[in-house]
Amino acid sequence: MRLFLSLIMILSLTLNSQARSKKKVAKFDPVGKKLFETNCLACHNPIQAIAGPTLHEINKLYEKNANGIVSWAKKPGRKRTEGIAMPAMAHIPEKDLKLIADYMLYAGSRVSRKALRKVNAFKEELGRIQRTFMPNSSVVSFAIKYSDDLSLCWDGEKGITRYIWQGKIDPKTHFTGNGKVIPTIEGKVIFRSSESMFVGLSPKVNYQGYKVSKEGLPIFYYKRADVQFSETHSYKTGNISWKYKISGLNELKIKLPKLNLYKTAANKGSIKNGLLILDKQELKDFTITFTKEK
Amino acid sequence: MKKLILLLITVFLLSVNAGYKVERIVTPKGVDSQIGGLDFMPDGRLVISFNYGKIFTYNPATKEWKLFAEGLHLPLGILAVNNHEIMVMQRPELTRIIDSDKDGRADTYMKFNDDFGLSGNYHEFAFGPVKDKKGNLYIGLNVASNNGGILEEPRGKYLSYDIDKEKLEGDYDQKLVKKTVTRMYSCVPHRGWIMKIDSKGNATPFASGVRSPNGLGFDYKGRLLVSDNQGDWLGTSKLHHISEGAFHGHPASLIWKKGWTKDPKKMSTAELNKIRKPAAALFTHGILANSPTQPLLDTTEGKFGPFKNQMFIGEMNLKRLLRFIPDEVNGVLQGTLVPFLDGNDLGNGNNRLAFDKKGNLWVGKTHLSWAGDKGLKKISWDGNVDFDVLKVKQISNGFRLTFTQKVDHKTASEINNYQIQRYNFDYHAKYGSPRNNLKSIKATSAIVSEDGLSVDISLPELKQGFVYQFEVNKLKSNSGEVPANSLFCYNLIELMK
Repeated sequence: MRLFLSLIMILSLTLNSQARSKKKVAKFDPVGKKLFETNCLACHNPIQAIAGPTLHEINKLYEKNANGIVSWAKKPGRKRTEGIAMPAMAHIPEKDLKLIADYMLYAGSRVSRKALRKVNAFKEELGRIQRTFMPNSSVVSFAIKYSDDLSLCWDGEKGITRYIWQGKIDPKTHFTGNGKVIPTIEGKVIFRSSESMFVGLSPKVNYQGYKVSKEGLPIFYYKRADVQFSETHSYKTGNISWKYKISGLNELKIKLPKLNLYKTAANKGSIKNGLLILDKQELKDFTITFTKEK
Repeated sequence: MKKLILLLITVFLLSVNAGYKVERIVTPKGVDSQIGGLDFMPDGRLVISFNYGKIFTYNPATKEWKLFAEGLHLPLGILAVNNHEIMVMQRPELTRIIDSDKDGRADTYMKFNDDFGLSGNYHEFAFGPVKDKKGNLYIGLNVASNNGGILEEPRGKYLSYDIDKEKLEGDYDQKLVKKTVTRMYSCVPHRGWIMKIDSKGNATPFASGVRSPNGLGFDYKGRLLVSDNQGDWLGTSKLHHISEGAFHGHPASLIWKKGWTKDPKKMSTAELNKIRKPAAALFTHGILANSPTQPLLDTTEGKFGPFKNQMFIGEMNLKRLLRFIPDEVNGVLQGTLVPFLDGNDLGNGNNRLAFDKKGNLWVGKTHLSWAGDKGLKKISWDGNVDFDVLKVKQISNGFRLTFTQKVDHKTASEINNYQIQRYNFDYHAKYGSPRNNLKSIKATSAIVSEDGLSVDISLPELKQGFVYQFEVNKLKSNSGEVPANSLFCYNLIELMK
C-alpha cells in the first residue's frame, strides 16, 4: 500500500510539474483522446514515425493552431512523397475533429526529450553483405562493405561489380520506410562498369547464390551459359582481391578493371594486347588483386 | 482507497481478454523489430526475419536470441525447413539459407527461385512461401503502385498499356504517371499472381488477380487461402480461396496470362466480373479489418481453444486478430469472419503468426510505414472457453449458429436479439467501396437446439452475393456470460441447392 501511495504521489508531482511548463498544453478532453486512439493512433504515434508525422512533430507544426489540424484532416494534401497519403477524415464531425486536434497538441507538447532521444538513438548496424536496391545498378544488387571506407556494388543480374566507392551505404536511407527510398552511397566512386570483364562470354547470367567466407565477405556462384564461376571477395591490409574458379572453358580473355589509386594485377596468365589470357588449367584458380598505390 | 484499488483491478482485468494472455517478448537490442517472417524450427527455436534484413533465432526456453542470417532485401516470409535451413522470401528471390556447419549461424544463401519480374517499384512486395502436402511452395507477388516509379534496370520483360518504360524511371513525372498509369500496375511478370514452385525450384504462374497478398496459408483441407488488401478493385479486403488458373479480381495481373492480348483497362467491369472468382470471405472495412494479413490454421489440437479447422488471421491496422470459420456449400468454400482477440495488450501491426508446440500463438508485428507497429507478442490460452460463436453454417432458410457454450434459452429464442444486416461491395477500379444495398433483416424464427449449443435462424430469404452481418450482443450463455465477440460476417457466395 505504501508503494502504491508513493506511486500516486510521484505521478501527481510529475503531472504538476508538467502543468507548470508554459509550452505544454494544459488540458485535454478524454473524449478527444478516445477519438484520437480510434481514428488516428495507428498512423500518428506520439514519438515514433509510422505512417504519418509524430504528435511531437505535429505539435511543432501546429502549435496553438488546432483549427489548422482540423482543416488538414478534412481535406488532406500531400507534403511528403514517402509513404502513403493521409485519407480524408471528412466522416468525423468537425467538433470531434477539434477535440482530436486539441488532444494531439496536448499529447505532442508532452513528449519528453528523454523519450525522443531514446527513439532517435536507435541505430541498426548493416552487415558486410546487404542486398538492396542501389543507385546505378540493377534491381538485384548487393552492397558489400570491405571496410567503412571502401564498398562495392555487385549486380546479380549482370554478375559484375558495378562500382566501388570510398565509403558505405548511408544507413538512414536503408533503415527507412517500405523501399520507396533507394539507399544512397556515401563517398567517392573509384571504379564504375556496366559490362563484364570476361571477354566474349554470354552477358546473360544465372545467379546461383553465395556463401559467406570466414572474413564475412561473399563467395558468389553464377553461370554464364555453361560456364561455371565462383568469385571470392577478400579485403586485407587495404587491398582487394577477387579469387575466381572457372570451369567449362579452354581459354578466357579478361579486360582487367582499373581502379582509381589502385594497381591491378593477376597471379596467373599472360597479358596480350592489354588483355589477361588464361588457359583451362589457370582458370581453375586465379586471383585478381587491387593494391593501393602509395 | 480500497475502492480505488478495486477499480484499478477491474480496469486491468477488463483490458485482458478472458482466456487468453498476451505477453510482450523483448526483441534483440539494436535491431528494428518490424517482423516480416516467423516460423518454428523442429527443435522449438523460433526463427524470425526482421524487415531490414536480419534473421534471428529465439529459444523460448532460454530466452536467447542469436543472429542466424543477415543482409536480406526486405524478407517478408520465412519457412523453417529443418533446424539448420530456412526458406526466405525476399524482394528479389526465394532463397535457401543454410547453416551448413551447424554452429547456429547461416553461411550459405542459395537462390531457389527468382523466376518473376522486379521493377524496383516499392510496392512490389513478395510474400510466402507456404508448402503443400506434395512439397510445392507458393508465393504471392504484389502489384506496383502509381505512387512510385520503377528503376532503370528492372528484371523481366517490361509491358504496359499505359506508359513507356522511360517515363516511369528515375525522377519520373509524378503527375503524368498518376494520370496515365492505373492505380496499381503490373509492368513485369507475374506481378499480381500467386506462383507455384516445385521441389526443384521451377515456378509456374498459378493464379492471377491478387493485389497485395500479404498472407498465405493452407486450411484443414489443404486449400490455399490468401488475404488481400482493400484498394482499387477491392471494395473491401478479401480472403481468397486460390485455385489453379483462377482470376481473383484485380485486373492488372491479367496481361501476363498466357495468350492474353487485351488491355484490361479497356475491359468492362461486367466482363471482368464474369471471369473472376469471388472471395471466400470479406473483411468488412472499418468493422472487421482494414488490412488483414496471414491466415494460420489452428493445428494445436485444442491447445489454443476450441477452434479446430478454423484459421486465425492477423490485422495490421486495428488492434485485432480474427477467425475464419469455413462453410462449404455446393463444394464452394465460403464462410464467416469474426474478431478473435482485440485490445491494447495485443495492439495493431499483427503481421505474422506461428504456433509453437505448446499451442501458444506468436505474433510478429510490422508497419512498413503504414498503420501498424513493431515487436513480438506471445498469446497463450488458460483453458477457459469464452462464450463465443463457434460455427456458422448455412441451412436451407437461414443460418445455424453454434456456440462454445450452451445458450440462455430465453435470450437465444428472441428474434430481436439477432441484429442482421446484409450488404455488398462495388467491384470497380475506384479505391474501396461503401457498404451497398444495406438492408436490415428481421429473423422469422430462432430455434434453440436440444443440446442448447446451436440456434437455427430463419430469414425471409437468402440472397447470393451478399455479406450477412450478425450482431448478437444481447445473447447470453446459460451461465449468464455475454458473447466475447458479438459481431460476425458470413459471405454468401453459394446458396444451398
